Amino acid sequence: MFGSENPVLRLSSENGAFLPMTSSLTQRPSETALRVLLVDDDPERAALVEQALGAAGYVVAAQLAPHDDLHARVAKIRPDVIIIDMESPDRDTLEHMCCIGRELPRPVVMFTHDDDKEKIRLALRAGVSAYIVDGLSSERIKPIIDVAMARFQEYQALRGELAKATAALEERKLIERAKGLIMRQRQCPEDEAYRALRNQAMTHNLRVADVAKQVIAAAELLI
Amino acid sequence: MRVLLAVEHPDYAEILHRAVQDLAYTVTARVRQLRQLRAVARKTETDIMLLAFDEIDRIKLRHIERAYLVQPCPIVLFTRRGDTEIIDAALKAGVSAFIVDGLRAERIKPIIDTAVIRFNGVQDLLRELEQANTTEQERKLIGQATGILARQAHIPESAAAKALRRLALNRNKRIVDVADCIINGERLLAHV
Repeated sequence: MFGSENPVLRLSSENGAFLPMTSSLTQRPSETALRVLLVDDDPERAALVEQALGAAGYVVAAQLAPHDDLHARVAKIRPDVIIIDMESPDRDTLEHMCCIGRELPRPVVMFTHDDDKEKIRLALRAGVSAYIVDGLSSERIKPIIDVAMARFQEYQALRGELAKATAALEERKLIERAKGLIMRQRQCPEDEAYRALRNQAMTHNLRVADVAKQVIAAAELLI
Repeated sequence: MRVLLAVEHPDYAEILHRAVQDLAYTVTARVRQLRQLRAVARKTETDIMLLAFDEIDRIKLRHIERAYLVQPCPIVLFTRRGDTEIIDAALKAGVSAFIVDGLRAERIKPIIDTAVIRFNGVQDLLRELEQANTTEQERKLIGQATGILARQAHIPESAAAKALRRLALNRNKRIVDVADCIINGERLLAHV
């Protein structure tokens, strides 16, 4: 019931043996089909993965070898999801992933044969949304991509929230500092100092934190 | 590693149980129905939950979520199918790994490893977020208290901030508690 009995396509880079496709999944890629960037060092295997992706309703926007300039290609192609199929994720690939994660975050699904815990840790840290050991079969591709995308979105949302909280914290610090400076210069109470900041921000159509930054910069020059 | 199993079919329970034992992990408890999971999870110290159910629906997810809340740990869910909606809902319910048609003994170790690493990563992120948020709120209070102190004592804000810190240190209190005290105190005194 579960597992190994009925995969339509089983891929194994050890023996290179593929079972033929007799897929019941014959969705045709629609205009809204998700675009996949496929990274695979074995062209023959890549062709079969591409076929499996097509059968599951995805469009392979491009297919690369791992040592192509991933970052540039991702920037150009802007795929919805990146699928990497390799024996073991090497350091170069993981570094590319980190870089892409920072600048052009995308869900990444990695199929490998490497079950080393440290490798898994590195891959996840590099932004891999799904790390799948020995699990590439055409039937499972869709749920795996679905999970990867859901997880990616969840993670991005969390990261976004954290970035927001950290930025708010930084801004608060700036505003407090600027307020303190104004209070000292004008010998005024805190609320008046804050009002001064806010009025300045409104007049110049700036954010209070930006005015605070200006006040601090000015204070460094003047006081 | 202590493992709690919740598996519908005895056959799969056996496969999982044996696979877990082969990894030299301990199965602390086994249940067959998800509605039993919470009660068992509450009284069983566990590092990970492995669940296998053919079908996953909202009711099952609610049971999973309730178990997660009493025993927050990585949850691996093996199932037969899952659409985008149920996958989203499962991740929100606390599932770390949602695996369709992937229950094979030899894959269990990397699946567990991945789930644990991911769970810890998300926990770190949440803690960081909480810290950033708490600090932000606390900073607001501290800033406010510093302002009051500066105004009342006619001292610059930087001195007021130092005073506040000193106050906290001397009274062996957290600075935010002292800040709170000052804010409330002023509020009360202002109405006298």
